[in-house]
Amino acid sequence: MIEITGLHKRYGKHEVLADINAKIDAGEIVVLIGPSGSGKSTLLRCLNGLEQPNGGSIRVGTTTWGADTPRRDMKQVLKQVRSRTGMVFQQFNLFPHMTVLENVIEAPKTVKGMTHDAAVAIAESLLAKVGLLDKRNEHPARLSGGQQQRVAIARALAMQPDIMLFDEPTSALDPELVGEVLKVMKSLADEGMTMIVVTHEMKFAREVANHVIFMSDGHIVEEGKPEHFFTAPKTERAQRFLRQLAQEE
Amino acid sequence: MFNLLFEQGNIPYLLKGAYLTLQLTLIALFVGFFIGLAVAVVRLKGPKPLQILAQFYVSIIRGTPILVQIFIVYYGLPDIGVSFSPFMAACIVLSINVSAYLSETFRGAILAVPRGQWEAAASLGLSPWQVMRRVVLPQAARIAIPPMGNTAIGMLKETSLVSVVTATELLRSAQLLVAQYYVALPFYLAIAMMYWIMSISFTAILNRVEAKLAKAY
Repeated sequence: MIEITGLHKRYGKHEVLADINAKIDAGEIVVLIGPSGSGKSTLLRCLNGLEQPNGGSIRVGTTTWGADTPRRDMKQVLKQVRSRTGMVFQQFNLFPHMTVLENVIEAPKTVKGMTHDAAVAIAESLLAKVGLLDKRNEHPARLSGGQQQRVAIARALAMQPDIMLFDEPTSALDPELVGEVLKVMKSLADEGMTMIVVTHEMKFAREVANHVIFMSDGHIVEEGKPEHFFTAPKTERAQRFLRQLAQEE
Repeated sequence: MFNLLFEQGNIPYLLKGAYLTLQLTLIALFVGFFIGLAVAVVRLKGPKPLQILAQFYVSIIRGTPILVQIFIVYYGLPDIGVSFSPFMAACIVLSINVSAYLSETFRGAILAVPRGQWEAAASLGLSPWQVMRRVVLPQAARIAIPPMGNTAIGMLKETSLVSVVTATELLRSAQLLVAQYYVALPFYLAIAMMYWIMSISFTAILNRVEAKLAKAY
């Protein structure tokens, strides 16, 4: 469903992604882990066109693009890719001037041209799913971080994507609010959604993921099944990373 | 001396001038608002040549005295066969002038909307124009309201400059009465009072708008 080939991304001279190759199948729950600055978020952001690669190519579904895709074609590429992928951000990024419901119906109405009633019907069922239907008329500022992130997930789902991208969805949350967001993500995984999650939540990675990609310094250092990766990491770099995490806990 | 002010028809005459001043201010703000918005958006998101053009526009308008701009439009343009009534010339100059200042306000406000907002909207599939219209501009608007208020009050006072092209706004009305009676103080004090009342009314309205926007979220 997703294929990344020889992907490079540079900021100035700094190589953030150096020759990334990966394949992700439908229904996979992929967790991207690694030390900060390893390029995981950048990789995720490349997948829905928030970052433009400097080399290599990306295929999402039937859409392929890369560093040399002409600008005029990118418009179409972005449109296709973003209709298939939903993105959840670390800082939630809900639209503060809209209510919860308006946040969720915005894209279906504006992008898909859905009628108000149809969009509201979808939004309400999604808000019910994330347990926030009673907050539909609140503005985001009145919600806790965990509630905001659940709304953000509902907002992304409202576009009915095939793939959900999560960029450190719980990193900005108070510890007691992490669980409610992870629970929603787990239920999505159970429904068979294809998910790529950048996270530091190792418990989630261990229990929910079926594929772990470990990155360091812009490279994929190791990947595999979580049960193998977490119990017997092959590379020294991954061993050191897991040891550090264990110490912190 | 001051009873001259209350002689038959003088106050209504000044009020007529005040009305014209108000008209000029509102027209300039209204037209300037849309030009300023367009210039700000073009400067931030337009194609490169247009960006430079917009920057040049702002620079030249802000870098020249408004009085000179009025002279160019009212006294200068007739030389190439383009002439306007005093009122029309005043509207054009004031609109253009205020648009340059407002565009800077808008640009700052648009840039103040966090990057995450653009990204979230784009990731949902909104086109750049939809992102701007649905997500960024509504948030930029409330950031821009206080500085816009200052510009509006500034504009109210700047309109007095167009008296030099015989547009009979408030200052010019007073000047005409002064010329008739050879007494200046009562009339100038009276219009100072009128300017002040209009300024504080503007301020009051803006405070209401700000309070309302602050409540929205």
